[in-house]
Amino acid sequence: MHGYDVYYGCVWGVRTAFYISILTTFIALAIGLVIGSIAGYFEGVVDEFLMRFTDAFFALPGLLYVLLIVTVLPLEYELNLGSFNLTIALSGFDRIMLALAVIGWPPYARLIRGEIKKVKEQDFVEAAKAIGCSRLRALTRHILPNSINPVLSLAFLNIGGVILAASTVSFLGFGPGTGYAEWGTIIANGRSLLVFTTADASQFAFLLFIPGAFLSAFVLGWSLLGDTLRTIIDPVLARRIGI
Amino acid sequence: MRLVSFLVKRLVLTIFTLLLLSLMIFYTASFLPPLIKARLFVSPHLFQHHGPNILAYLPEIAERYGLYDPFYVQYLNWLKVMLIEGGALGFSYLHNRWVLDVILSSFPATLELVMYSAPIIIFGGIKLGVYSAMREHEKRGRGDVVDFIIRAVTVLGYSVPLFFTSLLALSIFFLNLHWVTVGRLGNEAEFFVYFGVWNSYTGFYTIDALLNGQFWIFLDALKHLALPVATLTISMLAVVVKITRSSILGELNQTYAIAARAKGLRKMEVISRVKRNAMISILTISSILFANMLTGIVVIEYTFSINGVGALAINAAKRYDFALLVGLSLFFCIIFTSINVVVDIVYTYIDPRVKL
Repeated sequence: MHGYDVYYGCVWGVRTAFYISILTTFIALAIGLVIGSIAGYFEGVVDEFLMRFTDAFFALPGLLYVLLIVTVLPLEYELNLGSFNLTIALSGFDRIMLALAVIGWPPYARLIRGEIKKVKEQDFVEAAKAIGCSRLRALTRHILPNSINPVLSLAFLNIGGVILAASTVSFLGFGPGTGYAEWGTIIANGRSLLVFTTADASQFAFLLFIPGAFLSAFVLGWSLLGDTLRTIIDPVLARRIGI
Repeated sequence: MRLVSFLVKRLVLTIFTLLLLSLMIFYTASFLPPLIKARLFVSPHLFQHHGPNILAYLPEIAERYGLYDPFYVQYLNWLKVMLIEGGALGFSYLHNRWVLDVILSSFPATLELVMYSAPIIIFGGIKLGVYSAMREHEKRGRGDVVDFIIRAVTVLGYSVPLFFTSLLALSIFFLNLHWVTVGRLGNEAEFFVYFGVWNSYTGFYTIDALLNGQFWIFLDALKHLALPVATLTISMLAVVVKITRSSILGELNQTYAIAARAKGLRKMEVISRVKRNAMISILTISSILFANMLTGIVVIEYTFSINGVGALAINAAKRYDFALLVGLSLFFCIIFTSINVVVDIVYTYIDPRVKL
């Protein structure tokens, strides 16, 4: 109907999927790490405030907020810096990635906070402080490397989920638009052909099957990788819960 | 008494959370340029009547409604209207009604979907998870029917997107086999609901049909619900199965479970004792579960064209009805926070160690 080659779109969609999923997870991880480690390291009011902030994000209806961001953000955003204007151009992808990162960071923040609270009490941190490490150095050099593993394995598990969410958004019609190869958009095109056609529908079934198979294989691969990585990183836990 | 003080404390915290969320959502919506917001005030009727000349008044409209004001002034104005003047979440220009009215009128359709799928997801998921944990624990039962179902559900739920499953179901049962149609009711039943003797008690077509004594409408509504409920259930089951399974396996390795086994209890008895502790982790993820459920409902309502809250949200986003979109987000914030309060209370019944 649109004159697209489905195979071409599916193959180039792999690149898109990698781009979206890895970059989004990276941004969300960065935000979560910063907020979570500050909350975990500095106790008291800072911790309380940041954790309430994180809890608030858990109560956010994810997809609706993503739809809001995707529809609201203009494609070109002018930043007025007094003497000169900076124009930031956002593509359709960037908006989806930004939105998914904004709602995606709270689990990382919560997890890293718990881990840091555990590690912080151990002797080697005390020793590092005793020989004169600054707080920042103790946090970045001694505490974070010893508490980051569970967070990284969670991030690997989530990469597949990110691409599911992104393709859901573009399936609902808020995708990057024509000219981009994205599996969700291809499936959405297939749907419109399937539902609104008067001809025999079964001849268009491949328009759903092929991009859907690509998408499922991608997500399944990432989730298997994440499970394996978790087994390697935390063998005791993995044996206990039987992954 | 302790419950009351807990509720008061949670209420204060909830209000704080809601204010924060409303601030965030409002801030997001304020990225829209003032002139485009002003354009939304111009109704299609006005546009038809006066022609494109009316667009020349946009700056004036934006000025009058304070759209050029700084963000915090706009937010405080909005908050004042919402809280003091009873704003009902704003006015939807798309539906020409108050946003709260629009949401409440399409909420039953969504709730009906949840009502039928949630019990299957929760109880079925726990059953399957327990079975799967037992199988793993005893290393038997591989390859039977239940095992196959568990595997299929896990793979489907975790890696196949819901919109793909639902489209597949739609193309098989609707386009090829012609067993069902999309929507909430068939043509005849819809005709009867609109023009016949029909009292709407709850907004759920299945319950209303029984109350009205129209059994054929009940069957019709059930037939239309079957496919959406089935696809939603399949996609949501996987999380519950996996969490139940891993937490039961974790509990079985605890010393009390080993002691119970050593005392001579049978495996099923041990598992039935362990299940209560395993429920805690299921409760913990329930907020994530509800968030997933919302996403699922939006997709399901879009593909099966059910006029519920999810379809409302997509329509609002497509037609730039920001009052409705912001109102819907806030509405779900309220629902999610109240669910979290209920979950916290249920915690104390399941796990007496947790203090309110």
